[in-house]
Amino acid sequence: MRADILVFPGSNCDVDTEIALREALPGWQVTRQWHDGADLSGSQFCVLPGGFAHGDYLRAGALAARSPAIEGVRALIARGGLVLGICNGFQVLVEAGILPGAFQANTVQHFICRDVALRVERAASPFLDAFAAGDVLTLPIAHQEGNYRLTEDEYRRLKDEGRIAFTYCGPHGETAGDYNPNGSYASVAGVLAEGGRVLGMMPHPERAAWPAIGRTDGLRILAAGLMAAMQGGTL
Amino acid sequence: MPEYRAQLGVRLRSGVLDPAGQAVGHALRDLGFSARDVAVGKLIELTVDAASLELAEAEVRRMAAELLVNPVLEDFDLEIAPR
Repeated sequence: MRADILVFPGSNCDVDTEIALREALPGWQVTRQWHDGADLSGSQFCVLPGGFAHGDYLRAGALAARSPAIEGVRALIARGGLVLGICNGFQVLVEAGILPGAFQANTVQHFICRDVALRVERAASPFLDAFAAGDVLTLPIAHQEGNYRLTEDEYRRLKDEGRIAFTYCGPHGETAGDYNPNGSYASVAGVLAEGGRVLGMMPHPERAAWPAIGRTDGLRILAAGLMAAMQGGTL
Repeated sequence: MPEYRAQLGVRLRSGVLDPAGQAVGHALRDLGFSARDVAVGKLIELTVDAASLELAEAEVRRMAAELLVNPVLEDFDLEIAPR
């Protein structure tokens, strides 16, 4: 079984992600592939990591989303593989049209780097198998353009289809009050593509994968995804 | 093949929050200016080869749709002329 991390010029969470994936489910071959010439044909799981792909020129994720490597991602999705976009990787998936919406600068007008509480909105995705709806996780965010925009219609559709994965919340899962760090529509922090096998999320699971730092919720997300990809079998 | 020079002015749609515009407006007011409703956009210039002005404009509008402009958040105006 092979998991691939796509590396663009400006990606900077690819090594952390590689180490966390190895920790999450030993026995997988984990490779980082440079975007130019990347071959995902032998892959069951692909991560688009955090960073500033192509300098985030034009718009965050816009240039990476049009690169040939994304065709490989689309092919992997088409044959049932799992894809995880983390932070800038989420922005790339949105710019590619694989996930809906758009990103804007945080309403607070500056970069935010801190832990946030997240409520699991839906547990019926391979990535969320380890959780129940309503569970509260703690993961770090680190972004300048994390203000996720959806139209009201898009939001309702995602909600009706069970495709809201996470929302920002308070320590006990409450959404009332000022727990939305970046201005995202309806506090949405992560969404799923149809079928739940593509997850985009602004928080960084690879930075919450270590008991030594007191944070392991991210490891559980990565492990659940890898486990599901393995059970997907005949990819 | 004739060359055409295009200028796309890309701006956030009205009603879309513009944190950069707000920050710049705030700084201008700190300097004592009366600026308000500050908006920060992008100017993209490029040259294309095309058989006619109409074809050149059509190609640049395709570029806008496929990459240069995010229609969810942004509008643009286009000026294009023979080079």
